[in-house]
Amino acid sequence: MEHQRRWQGWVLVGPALLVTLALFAAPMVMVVLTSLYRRSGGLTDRTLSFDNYIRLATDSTIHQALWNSIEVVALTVIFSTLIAYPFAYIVAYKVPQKWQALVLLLTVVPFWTSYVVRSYSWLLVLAKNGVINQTLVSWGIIAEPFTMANTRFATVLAFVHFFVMVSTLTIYASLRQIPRNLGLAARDLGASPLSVFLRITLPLSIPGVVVGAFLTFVLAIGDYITPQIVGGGNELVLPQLLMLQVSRMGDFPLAAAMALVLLIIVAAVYAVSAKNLTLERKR
Amino acid sequence: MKLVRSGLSWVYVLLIFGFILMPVVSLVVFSFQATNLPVPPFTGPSLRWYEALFADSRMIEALRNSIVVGVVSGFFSRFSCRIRARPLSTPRSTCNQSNRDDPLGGVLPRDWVRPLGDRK
Amino acid sequence: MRKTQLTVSLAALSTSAFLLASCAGGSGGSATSSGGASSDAPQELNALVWCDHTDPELLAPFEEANNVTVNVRDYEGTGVALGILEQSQPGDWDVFVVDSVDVPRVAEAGILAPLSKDDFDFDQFFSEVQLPEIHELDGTLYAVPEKFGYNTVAFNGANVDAEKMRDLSFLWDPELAGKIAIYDYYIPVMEFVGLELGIEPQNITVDDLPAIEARLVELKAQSAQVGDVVSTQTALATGEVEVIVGGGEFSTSVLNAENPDLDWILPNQGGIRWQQAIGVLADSEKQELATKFVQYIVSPEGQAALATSSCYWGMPANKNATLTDEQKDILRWDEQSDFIANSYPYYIPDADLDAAMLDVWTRVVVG
Repeated sequence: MEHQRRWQGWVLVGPALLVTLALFAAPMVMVVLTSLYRRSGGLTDRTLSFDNYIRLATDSTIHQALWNSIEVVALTVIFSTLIAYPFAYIVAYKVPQKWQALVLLLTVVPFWTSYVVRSYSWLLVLAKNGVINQTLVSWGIIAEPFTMANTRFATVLAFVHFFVMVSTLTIYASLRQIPRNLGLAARDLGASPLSVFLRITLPLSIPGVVVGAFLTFVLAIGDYITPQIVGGGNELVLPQLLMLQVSRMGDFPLAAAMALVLLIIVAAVYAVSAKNLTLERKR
Repeated sequence: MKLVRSGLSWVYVLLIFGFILMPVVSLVVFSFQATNLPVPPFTGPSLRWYEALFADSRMIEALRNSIVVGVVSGFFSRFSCRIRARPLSTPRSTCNQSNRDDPLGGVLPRDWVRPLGDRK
Repeated sequence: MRKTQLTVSLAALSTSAFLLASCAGGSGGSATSSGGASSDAPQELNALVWCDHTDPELLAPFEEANNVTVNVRDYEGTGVALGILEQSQPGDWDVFVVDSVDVPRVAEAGILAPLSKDDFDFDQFFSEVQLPEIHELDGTLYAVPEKFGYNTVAFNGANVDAEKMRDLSFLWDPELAGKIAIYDYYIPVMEFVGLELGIEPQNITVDDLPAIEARLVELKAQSAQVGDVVSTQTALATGEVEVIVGGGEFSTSVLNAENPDLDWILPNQGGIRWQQAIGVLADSEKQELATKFVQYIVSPEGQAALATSSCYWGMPANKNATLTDEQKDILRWDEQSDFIANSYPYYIPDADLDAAMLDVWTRVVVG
């Protein structure tokens, strides 16, 4: 009986395991291997070496690109969280229960459009002759259109646009799990609304904030599309430099090494935030 | 005081919705632009771009490919979810979990939401 | 047991659906057809090309006349094309469109098939673009020039004085601060900057690079963006920028109908002349058909369609291209002899200089 159950277990897990091996583990092994090759004379030299990693450690252009990535993503995480938190709070506590799902749905629906197309629409909204500038000029608020597109501001704005949605949802989920009677009990005992927020609501919603921030970080740091479309090629982030290696130089080994660096960064951030990456209430 | 706070909340919600919907609305409006450039002034409404889209065989082929890719990957990930959930043998498999227990009311893909835990 | 069977069969079903889809995608995904298949199984010709060869208006006359379906795949960058060829089977590709400056090394590598000069009437071609030293190897023809143009300056004539643009140094003038888009193609743009410093492209050495880099950094400070053909075109068209450095007729001609103010010019210091050629692949199993296609592309009708393709315009190599007077005006047809005289063919540096130039460019762009 035990033997049959174990066999059943393997049969059940088998297809999933094969899928994971084929579609995840095998490509990862290929990426690691490729990062140890070198590009020379227009062909891939398959002798194993750490040349690419030495280059990553010493090349200041790569460091600059990495630093650009970290700055842009940090700004994105901070602003997404700051903007999303009040919104999630309002939806969780101020919007009547029966409307909450609808409000969240309305928040999410725009993101069912294509990511590429959404990025291009931001480029046009932010253009010198775009909707925002022309509106501000016609209302007399500014005299001349100002530059918003093709800047770091545009990249961060387009990122925040997407990640506000993600953070809103995670923070909302977290807020909804806080038992209402905690706040009621505190008010009964004389706490002010502000006190209730600072000492009960906020601390208990931290997991939602951390999950949203983590998702934002992971998805933004590897993103190539948004900086490429709205950033105007003015300062490259690491994924763009990676794509340059692939498309212009055909240097897959160096690109693989860069990809692994990004993976390590994400893993490090995960390790730091792992403790908080659950919304299950700790008892 | 409560009224003011309430008013501020609604203003904030409206601002957020404005921010989120702006590029999408812009896109839709300028898809009816009569001239070449998708920037103000609005010279439409005109269906010329929709006509151009459906007259271009490469666009239609690309659209067909997108739908095929979307349907097949959705199909595959649905079953992939099932076969991964089975071995975990929880009383209710993750794939079948009703929206009642989903803190986000089913708005996000279930797999994405898993780290968030379940409403008790 | 029944539940197990159900699960396993579901898994098998989904896996096979997935594999089927990827196979279907794979076989049909190597090239997109131009949609001209007829009912009695036409032959297929596979062409690895630049984007200006993908218009149905260009391909349809040839397809109909020869009962052929031409499958085109466009690429950017010779390095990428060589990668595609490396990963393909012999016989997968028949026709190859390539940068003229890359023809020598591609021919030497045995990728191109020898062509017969008798198949082409070179008297019809502009003499300056024939460049036998590039298109021939030991007297044998390997590729036929098909289109050329300039990497110079494109600008909005309504907001920028065309006469001022005749001086390349004007690009660094404070009047243009924040109004420039730089075309993201390092060799011609860096050679163009070199011209402003008085260095001719064929004379650029590694020692010149620091001066070019400094000037390039100043130019980038003046610019609003660095982008590819489409994004720089869009920026010029929407008024985001007023000038494209490295742009030319290929940037503005397509937009001319909508906005006749969009123009291009060759400054007094000169410009860089790009050129593309078309050839037959040595491994092709349809040499005759492929050669016929090449002949069609350089015929007057083919050249007219190619010169005015929806992806980008350019000068046809064939003087007899059947263009309208309006199209010729947009291409500044009558000034071509002056322009050709005052421009430098795109000079490809050797591998070391190339790598050094790309390093400079990457440093400047990463910011």
